Amino acid sequence: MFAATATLADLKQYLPLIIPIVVIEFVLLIYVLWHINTHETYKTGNRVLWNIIALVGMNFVGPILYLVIGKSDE
Amino acid sequence: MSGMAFFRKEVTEIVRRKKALIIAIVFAAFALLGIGTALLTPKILDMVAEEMATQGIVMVPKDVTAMDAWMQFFKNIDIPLIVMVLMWAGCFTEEYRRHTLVPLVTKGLKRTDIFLSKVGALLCVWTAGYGLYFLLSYGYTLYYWSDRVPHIIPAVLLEWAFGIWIIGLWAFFSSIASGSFQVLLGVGGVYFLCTFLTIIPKTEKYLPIRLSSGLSLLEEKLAIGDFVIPLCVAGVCFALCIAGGLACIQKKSI
Repeated sequence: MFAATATLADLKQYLPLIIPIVVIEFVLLIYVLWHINTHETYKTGNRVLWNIIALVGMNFVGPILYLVIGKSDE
Repeated sequence: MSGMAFFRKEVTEIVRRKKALIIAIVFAAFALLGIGTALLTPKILDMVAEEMATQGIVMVPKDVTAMDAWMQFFKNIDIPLIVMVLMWAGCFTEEYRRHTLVPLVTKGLKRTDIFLSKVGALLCVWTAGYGLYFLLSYGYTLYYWSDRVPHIIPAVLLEWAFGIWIIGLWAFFSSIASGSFQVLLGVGGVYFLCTFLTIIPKTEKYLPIRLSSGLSLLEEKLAIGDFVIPLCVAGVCFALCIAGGLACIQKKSI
């Protein structure tokens, strides 16, 4: 729906904002997935649950939730 | 170990445990998303207007200005602040639970030094995170919009003071609580009590919670003078929290 109204010029205008957001989002997602799958213990929840949360809420929400309430402090 | 060495240890720990990185990402993400929301608002409104037009409702398009970006700035800051308090809720209580402070205290480190170092470290984290949040928002606002908004600096500093007030509450409740949940309950409880008290018209101008309404300063609904009393109240409250925390941590079983 959005693609119909956004032109190429619009996209170019948004690039300085979109690029850092996308970079941060993916770096965070990859780091969190790596952390979930290389650690045995979590503050709450388990591996399967955190993998699902991180992937479903991949636009910041999932990874940040994991880092705040899932990642063990050990 | 001196107080300064303990402070350095705290800061090193924040960096090594990636807490600094997480905080930086959270503050940066919300700054960028705020700008993004402000930029996309006209597009979203256009789409809604098209839908509405089919139903016979006409919407007048509104231009996005720097003001909309700052509106997002003041609306979004709550979430990084909450994330920060959530992450630090167990800062003291975990140490009590694991008795990790016992060897330090028996070797002569003062309890007051422990308390002040931890509070100092969190103040640095808040200042740095908020600084990053402000710089990103400010930079992008300058890049995308040419109009200037008055009173930005005082409004931003008031919001910073609001964070300091929250940190004061966090410090006090950390010194008396025995679990991270109690800290959250204490800080959240005081916050909601203040929000609740704003219902009474006469109390509103004294409550530190007003410091977070920097937006009304930009919109010129309030003048800088209206913030003097809440700022003083917040300052006194912070001092009392620190004094209370220092007294309580002496008697706390660690």
